[in-house]
Amino acid sequence: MKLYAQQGYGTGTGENDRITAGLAAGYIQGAIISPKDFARDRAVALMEQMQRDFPNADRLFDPQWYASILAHDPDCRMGKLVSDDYSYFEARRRPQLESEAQVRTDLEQCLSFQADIPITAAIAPGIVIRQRFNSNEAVIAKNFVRNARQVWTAVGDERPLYVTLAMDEEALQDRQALEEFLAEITILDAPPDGFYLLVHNTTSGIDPELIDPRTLAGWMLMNHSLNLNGFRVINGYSDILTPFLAAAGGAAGATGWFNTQKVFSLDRFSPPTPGGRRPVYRYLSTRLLNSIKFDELQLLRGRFPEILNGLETDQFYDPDEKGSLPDSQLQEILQTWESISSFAPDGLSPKLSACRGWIETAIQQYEQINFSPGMRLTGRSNGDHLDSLKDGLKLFAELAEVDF
Amino acid sequence: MQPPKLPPSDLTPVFPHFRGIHEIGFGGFKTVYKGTVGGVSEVLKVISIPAPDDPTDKDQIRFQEECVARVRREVAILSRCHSPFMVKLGSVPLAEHVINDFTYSIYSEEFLDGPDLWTLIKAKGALPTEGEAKQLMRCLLEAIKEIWAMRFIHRDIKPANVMKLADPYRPFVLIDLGIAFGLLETGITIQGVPRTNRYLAPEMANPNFRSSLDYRTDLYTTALTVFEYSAGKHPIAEDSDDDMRTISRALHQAARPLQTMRPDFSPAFCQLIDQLLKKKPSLRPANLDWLIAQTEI
Repeated sequence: MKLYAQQGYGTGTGENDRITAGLAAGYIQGAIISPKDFARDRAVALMEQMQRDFPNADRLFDPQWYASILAHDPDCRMGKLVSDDYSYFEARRRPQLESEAQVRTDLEQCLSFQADIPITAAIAPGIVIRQRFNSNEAVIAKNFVRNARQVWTAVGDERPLYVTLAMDEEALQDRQALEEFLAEITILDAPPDGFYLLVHNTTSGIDPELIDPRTLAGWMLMNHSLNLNGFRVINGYSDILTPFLAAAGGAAGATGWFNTQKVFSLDRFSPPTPGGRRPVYRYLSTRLLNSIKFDELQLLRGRFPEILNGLETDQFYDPDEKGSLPDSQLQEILQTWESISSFAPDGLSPKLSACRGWIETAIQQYEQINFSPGMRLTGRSNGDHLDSLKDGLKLFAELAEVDF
Repeated sequence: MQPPKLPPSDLTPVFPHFRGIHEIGFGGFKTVYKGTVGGVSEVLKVISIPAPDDPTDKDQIRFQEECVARVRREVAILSRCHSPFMVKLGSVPLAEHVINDFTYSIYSEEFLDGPDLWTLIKAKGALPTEGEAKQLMRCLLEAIKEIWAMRFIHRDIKPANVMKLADPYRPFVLIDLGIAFGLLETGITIQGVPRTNRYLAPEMANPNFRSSLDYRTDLYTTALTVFEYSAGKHPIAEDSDDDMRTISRALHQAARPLQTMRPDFSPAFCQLIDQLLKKKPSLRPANLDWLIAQTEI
């Protein structure tokens, strides 16, 4: 299992560059660069630095083409996507993309752009499949999938090719449509090397670990089926779900420092809404399968020391000097990356039985905490996600026809 | 009305160069005869083409046309096959013959000198080694690859349609493309889906199977065949079951793991067969070259 940085706004520079810090510490094995908030020069410079200092790290570029259908709205936040830096990006309406010739043209522009930058593998564009796998968007998405290999071959690049497959979380809940879609994309005449899976939520303001069991099961099934058929699967914005997806067959997952890099949603491109507040630093406890606020950690760590991961980055949450408050967001994301990676020691993908064990342990841990006066974890830190994970795992086993 | 089975004596005048014609098999509309041509054994395949009882009945006329079309398609596919693991056509080209006022489609194939796997399974002899099971799988996968390249699906891979030969270059040969399905063709089955329920891939039970069928159906039945030949027992069906129960099991009951029947086989090979027996086509590994590589001994 590999873990990547899901790059986005606020990457930092120099000593505060989160990606190079994560690579140097060995907590991540690559990065998925997003152009929206990153100029081409900076993106290329970062990739060149990665190439030089971390030659084994994977360098991927998410073209964010899925945002093209929003780009007609002048109020939408397209950032640098609509600058001269990213000339492949253009506003598109759905009827335009119903033309296969247009799809091929867009693939050609996007992949030609990537052929000129120091990536280790290309990611072909795609659009978000809305609601169901038998929707019009699904037909368009399949056209991107079917044509990508031919176009990449015509570009003349031999680096591996992934294809974006983005879908509404709701789409993954329709078993029959999902199975039919998988049956189609697992036998392609000109297959890519792998897929870049994105599960779209209506908002990125939700908790990454709180997922509908049917969505988790469907997402895991996609990883499982694609892997069985020889494809490598990279899961974007998978955060704490990464080990579960890896247990199903996924090759990699990704997460970043803001919630918009932990949960995939097009709402980050939507017109801005007033309000918002600075996020509170959190600590990802592998035992709880959840991130808790630093002050909750401070409250609990004396009584329940087992909620600490026992990893290097625990030192950023010093209980004595700062009440478990880390110095910076850099420290917070390093702690997140190290924790998620620790689910797969030596990079080996976890087994499904291990996933079940983690959930059972977490349930017991939450029970102990919640029965202790004044210790109950509430809000995003509570244990609501555990039933979802448990049910999702069970449903996945049923869908994948595996013993569980 | 279905034409009667022909005695060999009725065929001798039609095919005078065929010597020693005698019947060796019969099933459905087809009778198979063996004979020699220039000292080489061949089989004559004689398909009875049912005549409409009512010449104005469109359904009966269509059924008659379908029977003719199926045979033509089978021969057309075989004529394009070069795989040694597919049966080859013989010296008699396909033609319709009127004999005793009844119509028959007749052509010849090579004679395959060996038992079919169903005969061997029923005989309950020594079970094959893993090497032989892999050899069987490889032959069937090579055949599927060739048929799929033409965008056809065999649809009837089963022990009775696989011949075991003594030839080390052709250890197993797949026969009978009678109900092959063409992805690029208009469907020609009007009397329901023809199938052998014991070897029914789950997706074939879907009335709308035409829209979603591909060669993974053949991968499933290949795995069934390899399993049954290896274990001497079907992974799902029971001999005492009636048709309904057999179909129900095919749709809902998980296959028993091959390793439980053949603990001497490698776990990797057993797991591969088990995975190909999954109910959902998308859960069956479909990369044919990769699958063939897994059968290396």
